[in-house]
Amino acid sequence: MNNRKSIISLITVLMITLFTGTAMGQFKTDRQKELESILMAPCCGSGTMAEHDDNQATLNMKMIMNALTSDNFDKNEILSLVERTYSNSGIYRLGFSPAQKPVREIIKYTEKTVHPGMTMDEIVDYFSWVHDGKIRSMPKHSGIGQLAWKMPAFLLIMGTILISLVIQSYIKKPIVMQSVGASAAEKSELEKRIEKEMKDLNI
Amino acid sequence: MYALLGNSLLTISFIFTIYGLIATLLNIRNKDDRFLRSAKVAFISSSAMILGSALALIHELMVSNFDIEYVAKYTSAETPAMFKFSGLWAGMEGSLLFWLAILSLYFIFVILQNRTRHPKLMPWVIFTLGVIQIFFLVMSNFFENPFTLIPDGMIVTGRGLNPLLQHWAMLIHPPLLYLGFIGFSIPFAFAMSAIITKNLDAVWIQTTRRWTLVTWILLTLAVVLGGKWAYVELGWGGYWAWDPVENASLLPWLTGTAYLHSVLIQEKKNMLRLWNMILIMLTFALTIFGTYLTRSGIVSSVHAFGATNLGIWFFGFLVLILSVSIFLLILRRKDLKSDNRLESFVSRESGFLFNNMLFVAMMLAVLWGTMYPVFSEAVSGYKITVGSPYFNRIMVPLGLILLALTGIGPLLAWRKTSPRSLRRNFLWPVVTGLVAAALWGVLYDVKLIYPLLSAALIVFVMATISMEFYRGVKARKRITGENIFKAFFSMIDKNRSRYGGYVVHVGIVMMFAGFTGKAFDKEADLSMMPGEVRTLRNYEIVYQDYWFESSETNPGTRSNHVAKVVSLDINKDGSHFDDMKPEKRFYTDQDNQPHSNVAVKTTLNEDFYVVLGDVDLDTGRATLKVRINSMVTWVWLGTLVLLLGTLISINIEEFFRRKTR
Repeated sequence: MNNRKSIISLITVLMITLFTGTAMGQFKTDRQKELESILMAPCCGSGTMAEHDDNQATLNMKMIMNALTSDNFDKNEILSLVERTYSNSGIYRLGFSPAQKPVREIIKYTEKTVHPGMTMDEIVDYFSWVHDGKIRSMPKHSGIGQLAWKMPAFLLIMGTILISLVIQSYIKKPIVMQSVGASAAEKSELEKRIEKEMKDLNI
Repeated sequence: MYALLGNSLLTISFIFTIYGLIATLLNIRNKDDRFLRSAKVAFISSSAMILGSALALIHELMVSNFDIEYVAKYTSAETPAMFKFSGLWAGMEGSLLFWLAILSLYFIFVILQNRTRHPKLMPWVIFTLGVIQIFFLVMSNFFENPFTLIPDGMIVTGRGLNPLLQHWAMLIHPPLLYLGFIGFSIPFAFAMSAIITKNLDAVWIQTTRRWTLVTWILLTLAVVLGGKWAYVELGWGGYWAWDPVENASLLPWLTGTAYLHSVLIQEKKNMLRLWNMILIMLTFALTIFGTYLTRSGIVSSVHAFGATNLGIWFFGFLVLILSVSIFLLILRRKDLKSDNRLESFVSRESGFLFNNMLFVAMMLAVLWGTMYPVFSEAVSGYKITVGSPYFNRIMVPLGLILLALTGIGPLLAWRKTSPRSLRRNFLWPVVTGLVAAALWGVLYDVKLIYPLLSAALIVFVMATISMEFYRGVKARKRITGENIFKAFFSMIDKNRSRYGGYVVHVGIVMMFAGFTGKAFDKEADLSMMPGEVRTLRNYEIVYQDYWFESSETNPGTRSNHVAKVVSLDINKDGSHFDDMKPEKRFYTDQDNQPHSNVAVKTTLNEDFYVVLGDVDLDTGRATLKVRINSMVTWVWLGTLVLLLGTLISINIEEFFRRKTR
């Protein structure tokens, strides 16, 4: 019981320590919101970061994202956050293991990669490198991922064509009235015959 | 004793169901009605026994008989009584028995209601339902028996119910979902019977349409209630996350909705007979697919049951259903051909066909996204995640096209729409929609394409529906001389299906308004000390106090958990708005599993939504997630309107009168 209590207290202290001091009290920007929705939470088996935030791993990653998208870009702060997030002495103790790589490698990569004004794709690529591709909540627009994106549009287009063809085939064909008179070819043939007969009769 | 009784009833019901199936087949073969009567008695008895078995399990859950493994796994002595009851569907074994119990209720109802009706159809209807029942009985008796006892000598106390399930919505949502899912067995059974016996006239379609309507509204309510639960219980601020299990409930809903539209064409024009048959079979197959998805462990979901070896059995059953259905469709394709023809591309019939195509495309898109991780793993050996952003990007445009069709369809005439009538019907609704969206965009500085498009379509659809009501009332007033109110109500009463459908569309439009509001949601994370004040837009948040509650301080309400509570005073535009008390709970019977109890203040335009991340009881510093969610109420209100429209369409009184006639 005491052990449980201490774990709960540890979670509380960590959450509050990590939250304090970050720029809060403002609404999240659309960019932050979008980022949270295109990266999966490294906990719980399913759901994006936007859908989970009461676990430490997700909270920390959100803070790194906020720092990466912040107007006051501070590389040292980001590196310190990365170290706190992915070091074994940090949140790993709480049972979360969000990253796939050793912390030193992650820090080295972060130092090399992050820069002010990172685009959405660059940030997503950064986290994909740290955690592997499973962190993406959407397939890439390349390789096998293309199939995921193109299939619904393909189905819709095929469906529209199919339904149009079905309707077309269902539509009653207008009744074509057969001409009582002879066709032009037949007519000229007939005229020739009449002329010939009239000639023969000397009329 | 109750465990033994429940287990025995489950076993005996298996034997009775087998007998019922054999007797039905003998009736079909020998045309001897005594076999059918005997089969009916057997099925009613087996169904009653299944219900008895479910009651026995409920009893054991309520009295906390921890000798039963299932009871120990999903409840504890501290679990409140109502949630002990909901333990029935909390785990795999109980939920299978619950599934069987609902199927049994339907089965008894169908047999009793059709004692003298549909003599040609009933043997195969009963046989089909019997096959479904025997499948679930095999699962329940031989694979996931809910009455399995704890080994002798082992003393256990209950582990308690998952805190997320300890919510009032979870008392209603699963039963409604099961009623909706299992309800599709009945139209499927009638369809199978009609196709086997070649009784493909209007009778089976009328019966299945009513059943489908009832089942459809139950499933709709279940899906929305699930969303309501997610909204107030999961604490992320949304109501739909495109989770595989959520998708599983949406798939049959989409094809069921398509069927409800296309069946009108068969009723009016005797067309699309093959297509309707396909839709109803597909809908049922998708309910089994959904069950397979939640119980096989092939996709990751927070809502799924733990992975078991049941998956292969459900997959086998699904293959059986699809194989038999496809075989029968091929066999009877000539009988299902229609002689009637469409007259024009621009007609209501074509509108219905496009609507159907769209519903099926949406179903395929959701199915594709849900199964894509499995597909990608099979092809590339690497599981690619497909989350809500993918579905939103695919489904939002499709949803908007569907919304447009909701408005276009009723304006098209049956058989053929002339260009003049097109202009007359469409001009004002289109102009109104465009002007309204433009005004909204300019006045509120909205620059997002989808919300603007959605607003234009919402106004357009509402204008078309209003026009339909206006014209109907006007015509009726002129012909009968009734006053406007009488004309309105008698018009609806004379054509319930049509006007009920319009009311359903109003509900859908209201829900779309709610979905559109999502684009304007705001979110902020706050870290506050007691006494601190923060301002977010026109809201002022005053952190008043914090405290700790447990079973000792609040024995009545905190029997199975402890809670950290903060008190917030919320002011809006300078005046008092609400006192909010979000909580962070730790469930003592669930290894102190944490759970945020959300505080929500709802208004028509927006919800003020607060989640307590945590509070340090020493210093009082609290972390809060604050959201301003736009127009969420419209989703719930739209559902109520949708329910009203369906009730108008069904005409309950007539439904029962016809059934008992």
